[in-house]
Amino acid sequence: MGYLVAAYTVIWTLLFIFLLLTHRRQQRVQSELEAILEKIKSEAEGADPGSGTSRTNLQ
Amino acid sequence: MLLSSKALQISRLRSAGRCLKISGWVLVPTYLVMLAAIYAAFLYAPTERVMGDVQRIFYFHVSAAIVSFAVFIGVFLGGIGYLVTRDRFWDSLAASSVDVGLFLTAIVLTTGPIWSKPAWNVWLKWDDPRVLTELILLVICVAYVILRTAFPEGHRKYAVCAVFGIIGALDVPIIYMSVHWWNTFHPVVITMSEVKLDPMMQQAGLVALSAFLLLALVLLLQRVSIRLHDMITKDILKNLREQE
Repeated sequence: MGYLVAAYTVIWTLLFIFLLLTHRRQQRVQSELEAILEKIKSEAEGADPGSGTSRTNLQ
Repeated sequence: MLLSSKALQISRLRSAGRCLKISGWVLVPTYLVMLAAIYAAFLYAPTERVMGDVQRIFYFHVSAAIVSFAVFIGVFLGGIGYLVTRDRFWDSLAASSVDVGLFLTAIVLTTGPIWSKPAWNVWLKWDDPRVLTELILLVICVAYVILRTAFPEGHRKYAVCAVFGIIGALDVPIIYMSVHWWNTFHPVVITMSEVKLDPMMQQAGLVALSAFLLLALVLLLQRVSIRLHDMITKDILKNLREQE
């Protein structure tokens, strides 16, 4: 029975590490998207809303 | 229109952030409870008298099945929610639930034969109503995923997927009732009113069920946030192209 417990524990730990890494990457994507939306918002507020010349530079 | 689109993007980003935050909170408890489930299934629970150690797969097989049923409530609600509101958040919920449901249904249909072969000397009994209806659910999940990739982005795709998901979710009560409606060799261990198990087996089963519930929650929240991020990124790119 011991080998089954070890096998299940190893597989589950690998899955957990995968989930943890995915979560961290997701957090990075979340903060990058927040920054992009904030930049778009501030640039749109700075531009003349009637002229239709609002541009965003995401570089 | 542009302003409302931006407000929608910010609202979706906040929803994605909330999903991520909750999945972060649940992640470590999920790991610990799953370790407890492994201990309970293999070391704590007593060995079944007739089937022996192979019966221990029951804790993972049944837990995955029950949680997959719960996940399909998300598919149903997501589908109805999208058809009523046309808000793509509901579509994301339904699609993410199908992803998690597919994973769990695959676990059920993998552990089932592994248990069935030594216990009943047959890998899969295709004419068994519960096996058949569970297999139909798996096929519906795979078809749903293929359908999503086949259609171009737009309301038609989300509406068709919502209807398809609702039909798929309606298979869940049929799976549950199949052992009561038709002749089956599938054992009925758990019903709404009673659990025909040794108390220690019940406790091990409950720990495994909690572990699978938490795992499904983490996977679902991560999938929803990934889909919301994808949606926001595509919207931003679309807006930028329109401005150029």
